[in-house]
Amino acid sequence: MYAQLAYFCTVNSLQQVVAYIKRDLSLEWRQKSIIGSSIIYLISVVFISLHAFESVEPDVWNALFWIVMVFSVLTVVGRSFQYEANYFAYHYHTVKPEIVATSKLITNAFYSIALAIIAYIIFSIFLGNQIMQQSTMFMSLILGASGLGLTFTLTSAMSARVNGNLVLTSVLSLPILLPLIIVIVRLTERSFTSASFFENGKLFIGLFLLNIIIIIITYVLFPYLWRD
Amino acid sequence: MKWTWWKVLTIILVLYTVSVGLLIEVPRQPVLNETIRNLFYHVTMWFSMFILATASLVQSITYLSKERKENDVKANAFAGSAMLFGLLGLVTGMVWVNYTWNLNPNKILLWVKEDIKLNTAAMGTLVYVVYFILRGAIDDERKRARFSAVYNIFAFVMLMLFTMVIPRMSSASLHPGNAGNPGFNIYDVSRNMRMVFYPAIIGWSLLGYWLATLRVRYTHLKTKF
Repeated sequence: MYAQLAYFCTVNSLQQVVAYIKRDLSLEWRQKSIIGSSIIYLISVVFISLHAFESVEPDVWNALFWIVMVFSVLTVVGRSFQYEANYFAYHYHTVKPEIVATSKLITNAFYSIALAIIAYIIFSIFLGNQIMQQSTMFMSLILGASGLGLTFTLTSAMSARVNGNLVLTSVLSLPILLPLIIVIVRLTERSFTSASFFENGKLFIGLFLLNIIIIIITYVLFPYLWRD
Repeated sequence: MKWTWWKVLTIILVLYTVSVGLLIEVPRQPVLNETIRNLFYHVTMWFSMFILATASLVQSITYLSKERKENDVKANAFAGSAMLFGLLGLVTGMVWVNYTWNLNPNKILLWVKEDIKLNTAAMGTLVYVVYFILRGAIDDERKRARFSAVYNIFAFVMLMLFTMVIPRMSSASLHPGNAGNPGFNIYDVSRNMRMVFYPAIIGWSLLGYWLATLRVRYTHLKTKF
């Protein structure tokens, strides 16, 4: 811990962000609890539906995929401030809130996209893959999953500072997320049809801008959560 | 009750909306017919909701910069009346759907999942429910004020994006004036209707403001005794 403190005094903010992300990833790598548990969750949902449905139609595939994504991203990102909440005073005095916000946003977007790709592979293997426009699906995976992860960041920080349980995170973020999910589901629906990638350009640009706006809001508002 | 000019104005405007709105001559549009009058009682609800939500947002931002307790109380009250108008907007819309789109004549209240505006509007109302849940979840007073202000700002920006931008991007809405041209182009044919429409917005918003002031005074009394 003191090594981290000494290190943070000597480097600029970019290096601080990198160091913070590295610390997060190495903590996760050591425990493997968060990613591991959500992969177990993914596989169990896929197995249940494999045995419950005789054949998985595109509509069902789409619905299942995004329901699973929302809740597995929630379990991953919802815990992202657990460590900081336990040692709040220490983090408060060593790191600037902007650094924490930036690095958490990057880490959470990374986790969400990784989860989305893993989920996509698992779904394709077990439930089949009838997607016609892989590029549309891929873009909606990246933009949609990162949107989920980024939105959960601020709300999970809030609930970690309040009482640290996952229920508050989901309550706070689900109503905000639902319109986002409507858009993502529409995009995924489109990828099952022959509508080309560029026909959905407006929606992609909208999703991209949405991600940017979430990042800006989180960056601006985070310092208010990060003090007593 | 303290009588001030704007309270009198509120009463006059609301009475004007209710009476004149039902009596004036309206253009006969295909499908819409007489239900076009819902412009005064449904569309104006959303306008008032956005005005009140903006007032709540301003109070929240002021709270974060100045940390005064009264701003938090005001933000809470404005959010309350914004949610009330959101609910009224949903209900009036659901009744109107029944007579205009007429998808299922056996129901009084109808939910049309194809219309993106309905979904985003419902989420917008839910956001305020969550705002009150968050307020209930935090015991520490200053923490509650700060966190709910942060959530209010976050939720408001997302709400604006979802209700203003996303319905414009996907044209899958059955609302009049949608599917290509957002706005009130259908209604613009009648100057009569505008004579009621704008006073109605002001009247309902003032009514919401009135409710909010009552709530603020109630909160002050509760903390006093």
